[in-house]
Amino acid sequence: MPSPYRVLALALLCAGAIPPISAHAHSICGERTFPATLAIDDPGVNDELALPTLSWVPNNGDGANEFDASFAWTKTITPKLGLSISTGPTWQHPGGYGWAALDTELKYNLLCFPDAEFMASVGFEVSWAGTGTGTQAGSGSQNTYSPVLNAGLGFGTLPESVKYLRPFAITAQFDTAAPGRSWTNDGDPIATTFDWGFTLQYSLPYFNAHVAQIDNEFMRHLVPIVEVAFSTPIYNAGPGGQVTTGTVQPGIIYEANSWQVALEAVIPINSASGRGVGVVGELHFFLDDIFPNSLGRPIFPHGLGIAPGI
Amino acid sequence: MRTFTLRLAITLALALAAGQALAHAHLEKATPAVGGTVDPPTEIRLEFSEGVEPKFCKVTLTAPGGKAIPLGTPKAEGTDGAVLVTPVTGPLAPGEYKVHWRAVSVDSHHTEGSFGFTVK
Repeated sequence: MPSPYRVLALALLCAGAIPPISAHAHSICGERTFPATLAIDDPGVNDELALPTLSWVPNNGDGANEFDASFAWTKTITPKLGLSISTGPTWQHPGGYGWAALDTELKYNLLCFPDAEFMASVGFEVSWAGTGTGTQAGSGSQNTYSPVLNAGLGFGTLPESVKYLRPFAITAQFDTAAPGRSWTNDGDPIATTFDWGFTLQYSLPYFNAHVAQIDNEFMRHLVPIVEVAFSTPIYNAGPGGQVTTGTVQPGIIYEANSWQVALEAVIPINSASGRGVGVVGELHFFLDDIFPNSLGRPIFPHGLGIAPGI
Repeated sequence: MRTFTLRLAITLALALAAGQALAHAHLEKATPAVGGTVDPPTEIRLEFSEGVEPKFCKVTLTAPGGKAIPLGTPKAEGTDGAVLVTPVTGPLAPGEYKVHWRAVSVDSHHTEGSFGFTVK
């Protein structure tokens, strides 16, 4: 069960999250705002905090009921370069408790074509050996390295005749997760996986500002979304380990001024991915909007002159 | 970790509850309405989610043939300066017009957008 400290922290966050003002957020390219998503990362680099992300699945594929809580914090170093850290506890029944390995990612906002509403980022993620505990300890002997590509495209350039499709956007993530060693100390193979996912989102904030006015205050903050995320073993999977696993996650995002909340169902694509429908929710803060002159500002706001935006 | 989480939550909760957050200025409502059909307007009124700096904002209006319509100087209204009002200096003939706006919020975040309306 969550400790009293975390329950208190969550209660404080919920109390503070009562919207004092209204509006939207986040990764912005031209007239398009890409919200933070749950199954894959958004294509931008921002100062933001996901706290908490809570998920529950009735059967995680290993036959266990699982509840996860986690946080992710991204700090911009320069306007286009950010460093994120994420981790959190997991409870499994049967199985017990564990703390997930610490993940870090250095991410660079490579492209933004404002007129095309297209943006892309590249990153390099490391899951650090020895930082997981309990059920999440793993072999504890090797880091996992993941080059990551994120991209997003808004449909705002569609012609007037199909203007009701303009609020659509797609985002995608591709990465490979490669362990530092191919074998555990017990001689079991550790697979390299190709992880890939997409989102299809329909932005009512975009609809309200570009297509037709929405009078209902609540409705114009919503983004219906479907996310899919898959993992395909591509190397050293071992006998019977070549099955692609993944989830389909339909849900909704409410975008407020400096935060958003998202709620999605978690539907496994096959028995290797789990059984039954789970749920995931996230409260996400946009630190560049909350603390624009301090915590939410790049450490080097004018860059270092190394590359565009760096 | 527990202390860190609690401190971070308290800080964020206080910041949000006190209404201190500044943010990107997003268009909440426009007059003429986004996608609306209206009588010839005398001004373009853009209501944002945040206060804006009018001297750094720009509004353009394009006529059906692509011709730019002259506009007056934008001014901010409202207690928080979140309403940007731009006079339309001449009469508008019937047809479809396009508004493009660029806004800078009071905390210097940039946003932009565009929409159409029809003059009957």
